[in-house]
Amino acid sequence: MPILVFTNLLKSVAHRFAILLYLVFALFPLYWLLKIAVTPDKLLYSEGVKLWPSDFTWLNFELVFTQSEFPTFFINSAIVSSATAVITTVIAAAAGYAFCRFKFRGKLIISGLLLITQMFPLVMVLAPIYKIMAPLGLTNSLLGLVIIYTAFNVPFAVFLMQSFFDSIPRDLEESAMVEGCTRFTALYKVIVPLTLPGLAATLGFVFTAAWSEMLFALMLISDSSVSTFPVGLLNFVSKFAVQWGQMMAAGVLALIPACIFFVFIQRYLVQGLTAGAVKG
Amino acid sequence: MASIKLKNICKHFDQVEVLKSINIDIQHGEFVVLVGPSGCGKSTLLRSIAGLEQISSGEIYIGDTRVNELAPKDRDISMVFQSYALYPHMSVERNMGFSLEVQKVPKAQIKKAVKDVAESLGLTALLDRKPKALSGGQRQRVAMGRAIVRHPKVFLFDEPLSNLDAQLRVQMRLEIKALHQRLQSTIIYVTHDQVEAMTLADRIVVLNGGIVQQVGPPLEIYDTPANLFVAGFMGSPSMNFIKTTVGQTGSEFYLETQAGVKLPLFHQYQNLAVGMPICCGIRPEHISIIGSGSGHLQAQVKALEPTGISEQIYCHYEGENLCIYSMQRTGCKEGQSVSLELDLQRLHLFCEHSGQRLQQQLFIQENSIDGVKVATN
Repeated sequence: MPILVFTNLLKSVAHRFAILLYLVFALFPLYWLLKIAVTPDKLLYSEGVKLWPSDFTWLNFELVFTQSEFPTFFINSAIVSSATAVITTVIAAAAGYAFCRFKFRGKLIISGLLLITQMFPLVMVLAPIYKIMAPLGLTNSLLGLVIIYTAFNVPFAVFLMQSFFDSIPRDLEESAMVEGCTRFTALYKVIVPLTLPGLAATLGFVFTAAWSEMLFALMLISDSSVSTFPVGLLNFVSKFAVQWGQMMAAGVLALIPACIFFVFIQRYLVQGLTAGAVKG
Repeated sequence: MASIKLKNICKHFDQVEVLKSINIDIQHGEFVVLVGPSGCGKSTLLRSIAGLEQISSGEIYIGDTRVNELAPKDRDISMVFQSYALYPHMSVERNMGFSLEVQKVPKAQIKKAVKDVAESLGLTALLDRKPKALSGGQRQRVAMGRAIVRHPKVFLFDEPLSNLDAQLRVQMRLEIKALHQRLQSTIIYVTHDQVEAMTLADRIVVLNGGIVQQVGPPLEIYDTPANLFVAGFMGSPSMNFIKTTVGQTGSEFYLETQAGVKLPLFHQYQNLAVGMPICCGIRPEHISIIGSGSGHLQAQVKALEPTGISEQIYCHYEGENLCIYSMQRTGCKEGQSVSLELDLQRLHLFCEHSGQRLQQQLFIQENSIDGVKVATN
């Protein structure tokens, strides 16, 4: 029937248009970041708002690599984020498994305490954290950042991992235990492979959180040799000028690892974030 | 293969007692079915034998070994779960060989063992598939194959057919029976389906509220249920119960229904006393509808369930619901008054207070021909 075909076509066009609209909205800031990064400085203020500059340059990227400390910031960020992601995921997986599978005294209280840690605004704990970290020599150190990021990411990651373990039937590990596994071998031979999407989701979540964190980094780090890139980006803001081009080029470069990371884990991430939703 | 001995098994979760002093001896090579309604403790008992639940007190022996403190992996048992519990990330072949892989058996040997079992279960063509690409029946077969591969002392089945459709269930039931006949292994099988229990078991253990109600061969349980619970639970459609009291004329006892109908007793019973309230049980197949009004009870048809091969007629009699199972098509209509004849030889008498069966008395008679003493009912 032509009317039905027309309605379906209309629906399909409207659907795609809505997606397109959302994509434009979501990607425009990133596009603008790229546009500024490749715009020569002299055109930044002279050309007004144009969607694409009349001239094009890689100079900003070159300067970021050769004349700024960006490579150091980048490596620092990579170390801090990767270490935080791995350590947090390992702790959260162990804790999440325990919360999901074992009965123990104080389980509810510990669970409640984990939840409470999520209720405080981070700014409130900034000063006490500094007071704790300074005497321990953990300010101006990547280790200090890793510890703080891990501490603040673990509670949410535990809940995330627990929900993944909840979605795996107990029968599977019980079956493995009857068939000759200890609880630990059942865990790593049967449960861990099935939790890979969950582990990837947690890893991705924590990595991104640590990669973009600025508050603690700004407070605990004053030496640029141990700065992470969100703090490093501030170096492009000087007393008299803002080096927009270089700052945006650095921003584009900072996006690359996060994008690569997500391309790799995307398949697991989608499975992972929906795995707990429906019990099969 | 091994025997299993359960001695005074008790299990409680916090304050709730789910198993109360369970004592069962299972012979080497026996097929025992634990049956009972949901929440009766049958799965808990099975899991306790498997070592997946810690018992609160009592002793479990597999063969001559006391296994109370042994981990599930050290009990040499295999278990088939209701959900099949196949590992989704492994192929059928790896699933089946998993237990041997854990025991670090050489790969060639695992392959051969898996191949042999797969052939016997018709799974050879499916060995490379993942469980998600299998149908319910195939998954069930893989789960059984996984259990068979390692030749355990005891097989435990936890409601393995519950997730299958009716037709497949019948087919798998036959396969399990054939498997037992082939392997001659000791099997404990949990189900809430009493047809499964009747058809598969060498002996049935009927559980209710964590207490063993009766243990015995299927037909013994069907023909002489120990109490009201077993009588009502075993059999489909279930046994009919009529409230009566005991009366006596001369030396003959009879049961009198609330409507004053007298049902003569054909057997002698222990502990029978005049005025005693008795719950009189009769199986649906032992009631027949007769044309004339000369039957024992006059009832009204409430509903009919024709299945083609048979007919179940639900009647209302003096506040009781009676089910009649007839292999003939009776032609009854809903609302019709019918006359019911009971097979009085097949009445089951239960004390209304205790719910226990009244046992028939055995008379020791002197056989006049060869002088041998024989017991008769």
